[in-house]
Amino acid sequence: MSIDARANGRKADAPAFVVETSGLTKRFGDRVAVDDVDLRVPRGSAFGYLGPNGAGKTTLIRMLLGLTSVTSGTMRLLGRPVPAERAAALARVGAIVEEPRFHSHLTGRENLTVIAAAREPEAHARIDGALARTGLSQRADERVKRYSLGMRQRLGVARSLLADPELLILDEPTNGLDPAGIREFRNMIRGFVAEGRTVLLSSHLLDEVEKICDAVAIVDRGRVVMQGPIAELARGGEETILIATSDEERALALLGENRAVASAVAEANGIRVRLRPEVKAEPAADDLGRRLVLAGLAIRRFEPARASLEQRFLDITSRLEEAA
Amino acid sequence: MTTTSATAHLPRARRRAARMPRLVNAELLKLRKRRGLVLVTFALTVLPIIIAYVVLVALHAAEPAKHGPAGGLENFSGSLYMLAQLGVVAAVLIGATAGAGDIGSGVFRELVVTGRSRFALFAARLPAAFGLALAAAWAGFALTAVASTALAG
Repeated sequence: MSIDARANGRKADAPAFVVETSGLTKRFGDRVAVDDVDLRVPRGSAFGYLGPNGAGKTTLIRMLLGLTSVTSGTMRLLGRPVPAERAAALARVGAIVEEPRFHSHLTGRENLTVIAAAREPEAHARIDGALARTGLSQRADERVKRYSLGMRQRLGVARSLLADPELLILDEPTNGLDPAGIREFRNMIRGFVAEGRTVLLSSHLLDEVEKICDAVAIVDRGRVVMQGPIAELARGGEETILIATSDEERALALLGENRAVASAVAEANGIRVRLRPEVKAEPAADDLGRRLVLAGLAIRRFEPARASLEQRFLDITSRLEEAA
Repeated sequence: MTTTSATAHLPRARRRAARMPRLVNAELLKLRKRRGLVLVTFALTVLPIIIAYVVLVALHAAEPAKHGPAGGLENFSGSLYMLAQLGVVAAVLIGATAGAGDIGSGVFRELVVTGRSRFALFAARLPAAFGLALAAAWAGFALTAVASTALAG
């Protein structure tokens, strides 16, 4: 199968989750690096594993790939139990763990040949396609020691593609890339997802995860503190609207009387209105707008406030720090 | 008659066996592309033989009565002894490079995540290292044999 043809080749009985872990724990002596992690990565999505440095992201990836042993818990990759069926599971997994490493005295193509030799025989036939896909065809026969960091990252992706992967695991893949390189990488990842592959992306860059991923798990000190679709997590279960009117005091009074409103706080650029979680956001917002207009107020701004994932992440981690 | 991929239906054990030479070839590629290693290996196995026979030829030419022909069984035996001594040094260099190359460059991790067993990855290094060492030793031996025959007088 060609590298581009995977989307149409899915098995109907493929598991819904490409990564499933249950109670996964890793200890280094007294230190718990990964603490009772239950993770579910849905098939065909870009999934972010987001956490600050030292949160245990790389350790979890190393466990999934069989690079380090598990202290306790179970895990499945592409529906197969790992490590029991590690070889079969990893046959369709491509991965970049931390900085991709190569034999610097070999060319890009030769490095791929070395990895293809460890994979199924068909992997050799994918080398040219993988190089073309990552834009390295022109420089494939140069020694890797002459490659820039961005080219090495792309060669790392090309190497992952040799498996014709259903799942790509990328650990901090944009580290060290310039803005143009990051954008290029982002587009490449979205392209993989569009083909039906799943991308598990570990990163500490909130903005990056928000731009690339569909769903995210937020990890802190080894524990997954929250996981789900990004839009849902960013919203945090509450709808927020920003309203600016001709008379802020009257508007505040009107909003304060409304049962759908949990809180209304005046800010520099208007009033931040939080709706109660139990109300339906759209009709409630329509009703608020109508009441303000009927009260004779001119509405200058009325828009849903999108909390960024960063805001949500900082809320969660600062709450955890306070609790500790 | 329809054609299918030759490896698609091979039993697991046969597929594993079919993959082994590819791993060995890859290991050999890594070794032979190390120019420094290849040069030193041949410098240890071929160059001393050349030097030895040049010296023997020069001695014989300068004083034929005192120094016999450069070839012959005795010099052949002496050259092989030297080849064996220096060949061991070359083999150690090749073995060390083959054994530590992947770990040193950090590529071993990348090989492990393909799902291949660590044992298979380590085992492939042995025939590759032997291959290069034997090639160099064979070149030295061939040169010795030719020189000792041709210069036997």
